[in-house]
Amino acid sequence: MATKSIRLLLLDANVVLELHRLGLWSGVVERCEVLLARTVLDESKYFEKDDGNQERIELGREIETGRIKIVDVPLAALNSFQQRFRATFLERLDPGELESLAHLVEIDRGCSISSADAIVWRTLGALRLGDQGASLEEILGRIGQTRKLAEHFTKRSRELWTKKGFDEGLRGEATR
Amino acid sequence: MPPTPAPIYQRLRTARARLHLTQATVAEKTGIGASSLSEFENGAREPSLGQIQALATLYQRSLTWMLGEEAETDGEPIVLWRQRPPAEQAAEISARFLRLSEQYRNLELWCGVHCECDLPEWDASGAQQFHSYDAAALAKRVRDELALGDRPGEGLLRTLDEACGVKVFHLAFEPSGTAACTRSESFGASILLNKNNVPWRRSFDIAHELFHLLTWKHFRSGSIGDDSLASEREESLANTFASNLLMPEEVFRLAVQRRAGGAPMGDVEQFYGVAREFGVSVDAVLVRLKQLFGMKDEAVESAKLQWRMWARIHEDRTRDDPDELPERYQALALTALRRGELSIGRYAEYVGVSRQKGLEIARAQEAHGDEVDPPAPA
Repeated sequence: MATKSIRLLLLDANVVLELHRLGLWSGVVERCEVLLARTVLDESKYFEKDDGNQERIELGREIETGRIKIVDVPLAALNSFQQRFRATFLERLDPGELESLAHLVEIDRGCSISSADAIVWRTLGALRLGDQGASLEEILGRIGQTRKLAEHFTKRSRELWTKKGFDEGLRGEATR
Repeated sequence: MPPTPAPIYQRLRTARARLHLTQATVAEKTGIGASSLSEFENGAREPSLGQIQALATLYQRSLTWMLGEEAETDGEPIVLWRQRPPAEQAAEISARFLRLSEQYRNLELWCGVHCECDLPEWDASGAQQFHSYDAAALAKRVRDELALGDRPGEGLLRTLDEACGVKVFHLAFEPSGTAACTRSESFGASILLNKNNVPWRRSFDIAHELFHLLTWKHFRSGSIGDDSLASEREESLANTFASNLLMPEEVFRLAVQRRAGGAPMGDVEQFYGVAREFGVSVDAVLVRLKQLFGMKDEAVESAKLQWRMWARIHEDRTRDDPDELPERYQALALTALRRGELSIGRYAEYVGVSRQKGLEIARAQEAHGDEVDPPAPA
């Protein structure tokens, strides 16, 4: 198997859904070493096509063949991740994002995370891990694809919210 | 030093017991095996985050509570019921009601909006007894202070929700007569109405529950017995308050005078007209006639019977199907999403739509020019 150019992308469910909608999922899996948190897998069941019809997302074969890897984050790592933040901050994240971020922060800092949510970028910024975020727009750029994307999938959005999170981190508004 | 958070196995047991659920029922509802549940609750094995989330959803707990962020049981607010449903159903609805109230509070906090409860409070200092005339006086005070006007029935909910910080939810449950309320240091005051009830019934319910919220400290501090049910006396006072609030004496007398022209009111259509005018039920009008005009019990009962027969054919008031979530709650959720205060997935959960729908809403916000919109610094 050829070495993949981008190592470890923890994707959140919104990115998985959007890649399927755009028909670019296979291309990304081909070129990147993709990690999915178990909860993200649970949240990624269907996507809506442009004609409005729903289509099932089938990842079973890619998991079986090792083309994507599923991670389960142990409770101790989740607790330790939670301890970093002020009360109710993490309530803003959905479980897939929580598990992905906990994996990145507590287990494997060598990977990047991709999301459509401002709150994920804010969290990374607050933890001074902004460099480990990658918007969908940036991922597509790295594999030589361009698409017109919604604002929340863009590099601009990621940078804006990462900066905001960084400032919040400095002011002690997010983290303990 | 703060107490060490309870471990997850203990939280899982506590959360299940709170809803009177068996492990078999939980297994059926979540798809998690009963033997796994038993191991989770004994601390023999750890659940995955996905399993914790599934259990948190069923138990109406936040994920952060399940992971040990908040105290395990401290400060569980009392839910005060009017005609409480059977224990298991009451536990389930109460848990849902409290969770929604917490979520509402979170949205207020994340949007940086005022979330204190602004209700006039009855000063209980020195008063041992609460009399009917106190309830009537309190109703007048509330009507004046909240500028509710002469016929507050239809606008009361909006005023409480939008102007007073009272969280009002509509859930469907049986028996149909029930409503509930709660007060908490954390999220303030909340009212639960039965969405199966007709609007004119709910307007009385909301006024009734408002009385409990206003007098919460008086009746709930150090009380003996079951705090989730009010005494007959307290219920009667709440009804007096609601009658006085929704049908102010002078305005009500004028309405009766206008319809009956000085004669005793005895016509079903007249009762119905007054009920429509004040946005209440005919039963509530009859009670008010008894209070203000000394209508005899037999006459009230007879009128109720006539009304039931007449209403089957002629009643034509508009029924509705209220949203479970208040408009203000939904607006705050959208604001929070737009400002990047909560994730798309969490937004979808808070407003009860699919993740896909949440994504569509996020996309539509951008399409309408509502691009990423960082909130002003606190």
